[in-house]
Amino acid sequence: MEQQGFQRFCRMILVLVVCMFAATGCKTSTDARAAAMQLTATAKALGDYYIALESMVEKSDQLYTLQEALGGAGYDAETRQHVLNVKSEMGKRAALSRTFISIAASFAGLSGSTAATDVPASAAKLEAQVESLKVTGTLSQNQQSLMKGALELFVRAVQEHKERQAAAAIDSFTGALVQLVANEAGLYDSLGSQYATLAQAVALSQIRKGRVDPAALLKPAFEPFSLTALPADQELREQLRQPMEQQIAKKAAAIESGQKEATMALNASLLEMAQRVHRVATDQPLAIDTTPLTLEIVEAWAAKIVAL
Amino acid sequence: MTDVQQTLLATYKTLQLQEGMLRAACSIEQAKVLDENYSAARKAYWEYMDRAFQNNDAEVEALAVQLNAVNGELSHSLEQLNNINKVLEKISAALALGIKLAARAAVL
Repeated sequence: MEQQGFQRFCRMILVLVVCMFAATGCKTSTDARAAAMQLTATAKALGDYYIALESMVEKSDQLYTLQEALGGAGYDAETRQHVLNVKSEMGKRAALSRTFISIAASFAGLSGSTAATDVPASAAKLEAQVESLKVTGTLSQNQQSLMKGALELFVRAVQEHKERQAAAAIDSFTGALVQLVANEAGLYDSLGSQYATLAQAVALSQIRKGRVDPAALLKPAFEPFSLTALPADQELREQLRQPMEQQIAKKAAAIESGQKEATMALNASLLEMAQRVHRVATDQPLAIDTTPLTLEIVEAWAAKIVAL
Repeated sequence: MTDVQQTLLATYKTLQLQEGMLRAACSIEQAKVLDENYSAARKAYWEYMDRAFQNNDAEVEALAVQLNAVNGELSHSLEQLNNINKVLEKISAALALGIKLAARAAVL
């Protein structure tokens, strides 16, 4: 539900951005708005990526509880707290991305809009979210200050309707954001890898105990004839054990490789977006006015993970 | 992923995947030791993720190299599965280093 609300919000932002487009003819403004649209799309993909990561950590928490209930190792409170802390950190990053979308919209609506009155609240919110991020090895105190300083500069520039200065502030912020994601990329991939292995381990343990119905594997034989297999007996479960294990291993590997591909695509999109914003900030024409193609990979992966 | 991240994850993943098979080969006492080791590996991994420390400490690096070496031996032992006591011994050795690594990260 929250996801739908978020998507509706993003659509509204895009409509707003397009309307702003139609209202002016200045080349710099046009480029600024094109960059802002790309910024909006990239920030949305970033948010969706974090929502998917948060969902993977949440599912890991559920799987540990399940593992314990099924006779596996106990899930102690301290470990669970660490898991929940990581989930919370992903949630904070997703929230930051959502706020970044509204900042991008303000940037798009600089000329002749009422954005100037709206932007301080959004920027203050984003600043608070940057502040709330746990300062680890991935985000230094210096980077955090840089992001906050850029936002303050952005608010002033928007209030004074100074497009290029606003672009320069956004430029500084996106640079720090790109750095943050690049520094944490290994941690993100690690989360995906452990989730794929955990889900695989729980599923395999149940197959070994003969608790999994292999009926789905028989579908290609029976479905063309509108037939249904009888509930599997022990012999059939044993015969189909290996194909079931192979299917699990294949899908777990796909989850892991999909995550790595999405992380690489996200890094590439963020870098491309930062370069475009930098062009606007330094008064150079935008060569490309479409969103980075790599965003589709991120969005498709995020949707798949959330739906699991 | 840094060397430390990769090594800690590899140890935890190896145990996670092999835990079911190992359990089937264990006596009740051995299963208890296995559970304790698996829980400790999982805790070390999540503690590390929670703190996400930087891979810039010489001591951490040295421990990561050691853990990596033990992890290689562990994988080899798991392939054989013919000596459950030997496997548990390797797991305990890997875990001791993993916990030390996570504890070191906690104070960074």
